[in-house]
Formats: sequence, C-alpha cells, structure tokens
Amino acid sequence: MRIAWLGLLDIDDIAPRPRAQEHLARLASHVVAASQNHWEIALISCGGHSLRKMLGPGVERLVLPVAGGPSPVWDRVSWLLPQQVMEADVVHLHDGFSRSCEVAWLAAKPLGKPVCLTEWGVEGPWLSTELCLREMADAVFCHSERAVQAGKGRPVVFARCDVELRQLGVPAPWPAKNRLDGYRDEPILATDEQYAEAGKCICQAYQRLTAHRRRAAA
Amino acid sequence: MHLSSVSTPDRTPAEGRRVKILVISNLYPPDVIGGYELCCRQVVDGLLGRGHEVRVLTTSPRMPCAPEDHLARELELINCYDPYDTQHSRRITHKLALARAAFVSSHNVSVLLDHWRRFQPDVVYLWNLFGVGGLGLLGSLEYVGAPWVWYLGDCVPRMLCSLGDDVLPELASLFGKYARGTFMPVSERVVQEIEAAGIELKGDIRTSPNWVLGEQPSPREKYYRPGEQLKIVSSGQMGRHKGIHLLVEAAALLKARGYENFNIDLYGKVTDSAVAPLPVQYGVDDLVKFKGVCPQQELIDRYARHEYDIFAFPTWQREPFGCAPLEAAAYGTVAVMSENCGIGEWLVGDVHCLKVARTAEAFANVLARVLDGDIDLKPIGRRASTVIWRDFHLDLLLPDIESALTGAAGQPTRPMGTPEDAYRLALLAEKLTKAWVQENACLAEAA
Repeated sequence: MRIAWLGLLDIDDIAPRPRAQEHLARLASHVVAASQNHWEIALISCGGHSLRKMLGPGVERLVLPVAGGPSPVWDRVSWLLPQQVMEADVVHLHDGFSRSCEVAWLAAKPLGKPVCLTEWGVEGPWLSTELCLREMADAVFCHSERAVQAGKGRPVVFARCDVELRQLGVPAPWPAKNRLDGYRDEPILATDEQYAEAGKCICQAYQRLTAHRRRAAA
Repeated sequence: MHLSSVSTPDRTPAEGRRVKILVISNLYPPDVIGGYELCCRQVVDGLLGRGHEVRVLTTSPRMPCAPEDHLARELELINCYDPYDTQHSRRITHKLALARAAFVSSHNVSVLLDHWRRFQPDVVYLWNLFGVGGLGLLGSLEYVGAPWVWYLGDCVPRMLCSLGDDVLPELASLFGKYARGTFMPVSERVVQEIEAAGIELKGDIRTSPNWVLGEQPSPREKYYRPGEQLKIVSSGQMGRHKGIHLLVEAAALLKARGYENFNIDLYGKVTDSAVAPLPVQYGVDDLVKFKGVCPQQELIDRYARHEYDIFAFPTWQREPFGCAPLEAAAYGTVAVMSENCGIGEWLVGDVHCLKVARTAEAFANVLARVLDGDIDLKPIGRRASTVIWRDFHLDLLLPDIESALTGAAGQPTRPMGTPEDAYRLALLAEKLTKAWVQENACLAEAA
C-alpha cells in the first residue's frame, strides 16, 4: 500500500530550519514500522529541482517539478501531482494552506481515495478554511488537545505529538509573500515514544479507511 | 406529395423502458450558433415523443423567449466569443473568461446539482459544454455517480482542456483518467481530433451521424441541364473556416473562364468581416450574394422546392459533420464538399456527393464540369436522397440513442461523495483556476 503525504514540506525551503521534513520523516518511519514494513509513504512537495530519494525503509522523498513560474513556496504545484495521487491508496494532507494540498483534494476525492488531514488548530485566511475542506476529510488527525477541539465535527484521531505548527512554519497573511507568520525557532520536543504511538494510531486509521473502501468497492 | 418509405416510427422506448433524462447544453433554440443546438432540440423532442421524461438544462436566453415546461434556462453562459469582449477586454479578463467557460463555473455546478437532486435523472445526456464550465459539470456528475452519455457534435473535450487555442497537455492527459462514460461522436474525425490532443476517451464510443427530419419527398425530377442557370447555395456561418472565401474565388475563376450562367446564394450570419467585401473585390457581386440569416425550416422548404442544384460546402478539415449539406442532399440538392470533412465519412464521393480538394481551383473545376454537362447531377442527387431518408432519419437513429441512454442508466455507478462535497470541490477548483490563470498571466507580463 502506498500513502501520499503532502503539505508542510514546501516551507522548508524558506524556514530557518527545515523541520517539516524532519518531523514528517520521523512520523512516516513509525507509520511504516507499525505496518510491519508493508506500506510505503511518499513525502511529496513541489520544487525547482525534481528529486526522488529514499529517506529510510519505506519512506521516500519526492520533489515534483513546479508548474508555472516562481511563486510563494506554499503556492507551488505540479502537473505530476495528480498522478502521484492516483498511485496512492491513501492521501494524507499535513496542512490546510499549501496549494499542493488543495490540488490534492481535487485529484483525490473524485477518485474516491481516502483523504486524511492533520488539523493543527490554527485558523488562517486560507482557502481550505474558507471552504471548510476538512468537512470532506475521511479522517482528521490531531497532535494536540487544542487541535482536537478545532477538528471536531469529523472523525478525529488523536495522535499526540508535541510539535507545533509554528515550529514548522505558517504563511504570513497576504500580501506578505514568502514570509512566515510567528515562526517559533524551537526544537521539536516530541519524543520517539510519542512518534511511535502517533505512528501506530495513524497506521490503524489508514487500515480502517482502506478496509472500508475495499468493502464499499466490493 | 411525400412518400412514406420511412417506416412509422416506433414510439416505444428502447427495451420498453422509460427513463428520466437530464439534458445539458450550452445553448438551446432559439439560441443557436449552428447545427449542434438545433440537433439538441430535435432529439429532445424525439425522446419526449417516445415517452421519456426529459428535462433540458441550458443557459439563460440571449433574447426573451417563451418558457417551456421541460426547459430550465438557468445556467450562466460565459460567452468568451462575444466580439466586443474579445476586442476590448484586457488579456487577463479574457483568459479568466476562457478558463471559466472551459474548466469550471461553481454557479453552474450548483445549478446542475440542484437539478440532479430534484429531478433525480436516470441518466444525463451531455451536449456542448463549452461556455458553461464543462469540466466542472462533468466532474460533478462523476462525483455524484451520475451515468452520462455525451453527444459529440464537435471536439468538445478538447475545447474543455484548452485555454483559448492552446491545449493544456497535462490537463488533456488527466481527462481520460477521470471521465468515463458513453461517447456518441458524429464522425471518426471528431474522435481523431480529440485523441490528437492527447485526450483518451474512456468508456463506450458509439459513432452515430447527424440526421434529417420530416417525410421523404417524392424523387426530384428536375435537375440541372447544361445551358440552364446553375443555382448554387451554401449556408452556415459565413466565415473563412467554412471556406466562403474559396467559394467567392471559385466564382471568380469560373467567370474568368467565361461561365456566367450560375449564381451562388449564401445564407447565414457573417461571422468573419473579411468575407463580406470579397464578392465586390473579386468582381462577382452579380453572381455571389449574401442573403443573411434564414431559419432552418425556410431553407429546407427552399431545398424541397428544388430552388437549388448544388450545395457547396468548402468547409475546413476539422468540420465535425455538417448538417446543412445533409439536409440539402435529402431533397436532391447535390453536395459538393471538401474531401476531408466529417460528413464525407458517411457519404461516398461520386456516388452520393462530389468531393474535391479544399481549394478555389478544385471547386471551380468541379462546378465547370457540371456546367459543361460532364457531371450529371441527377443520379448523384437521387442516390443521396434515397440513402439519407433510409439511413439518416432521426426516427431511425433515435433507438440507438435511446439504447445508449438506457444502457448507461442501467450501469451501476458508485458515487464518490455527496452533492455538497461536489459543490465544495467546484468552488475550490474555480478559485484555484482563477489563481493559476492570474499568476501565470502576471508571470507572462513580467517576462
């Protein structure tokens, strides 16, 4: 089974420290481990230089070529993104503001792919918020109690992990381009045990979603 | 006097099944550009006549018109071909309009989903979706699990994957991955043109021609004889894409060769201002006349009265079909057409029509041969009329259309989500499209 992870990663290109990949790679490795190494997770973003490399067992880093010209990092998108979504069994969006995540909604939902969303409990002037896209999510993951409150209304999976969105990077409101809003230059405090537990929760949720999808298809 | 060789139409729905059909068309008479919209109304009337429940969803009328029970003129037409807008809009405004016309209009998706919920059709019958955000409508239907049949009287999927004249290859390649249904193209040419753009039509493809209506007339007796006045007609949009300039040039060539016993009447709206002065410029304004717009039935009446000997159709290669020469030929007006247009696939050259290269010289040559008596129009006209009433009557084609519709209606479909989510996705798509067009336009300007 292949899982496509999108979001957050674009910000690493402008953040003082590339913590998004660090966070997602750690989490992904635990999800893969919880699946008995049966699954693979692709961490996908869009950038100027295409890239495909393994970050660890079952965890792949993929940078797709940007369509169009330079734009704020969170507005990058690639024509190859729909193909990645098609090849995935589950799509997991880790933020609610990057365009690659918005396009992934469009690519995934018409194909009936389960779409999961990580809710951070941070509201912003973003399209995802305006359109309440999380209403369409098949599962919402929250890493904190505060986020659980924000994510209510949809099936929420609490996968505790002491990482804050502002440690990874949040876009500043328009018209500030390529600027982060209230960036907190602090190390991620989440322990390996937390990541392992969160990975297990996420793995179980994916299993439920894919089993449900198989039943529906049958 | 009319013959009754067209058998009395069977008014029973295919397989005895009455279905609810939601028809979607960008335009619907009295709003017409060409044969596409006229055919839509004809087939709707035919399906209603056979007992199906039909609702037509189309755009608000361009002129006031009487309401009809089965007609919902509620969609918005994004008319990006409006000459004023085209000439006076800023480039970005025009591009945004093109994008909404082809890709998605959330308003139109909302209207469609509302009708989908209230009417609950068994099947959706798609016509021309350009100008109403066709990709969005199609995507929404796919999303709610609506089975559909798409009459392709033109390469509409290609238009929907383009921004203006430019096909977006990435979008084209995605089309086949998301759209699966029954396609009814009017010619192989249409399929080829769509596929050449990188679009794969996935599903059932049933090529089916356009048609004529009415009762078969008695065979035409009077055909052109050398020395008489050869009466030539053409109808449709008066533009270079239809080859009207070639026809004027052909008239000039004939005149230069000493032929003056012919005249050419041109019916239709002049959509290309370059063609209007051509008869004067070529010195054939005594032979070639623009006669203005003529209602379809009035033209058919003229053919039925045998007012014309030849229907000249020097149209472009990408002509999907061409209803006008079919209608004319049904009454013995021999079609002289460019050799590679859509209708040419259905009629045999020198048997049912005359096919020539799409040049003024070629048209002049074949007309000269008719004028000289080297080509006898009578056998061609008779054979064409016979075959058209036998194989191209709507009553005979309607069961195939019904079969496609009932077949699609019977296909199990799995909805991917609710109409609410379909609308949410349409809103998202519309906003992303707008952002994408604007940002790329800014980049282009900056470059």
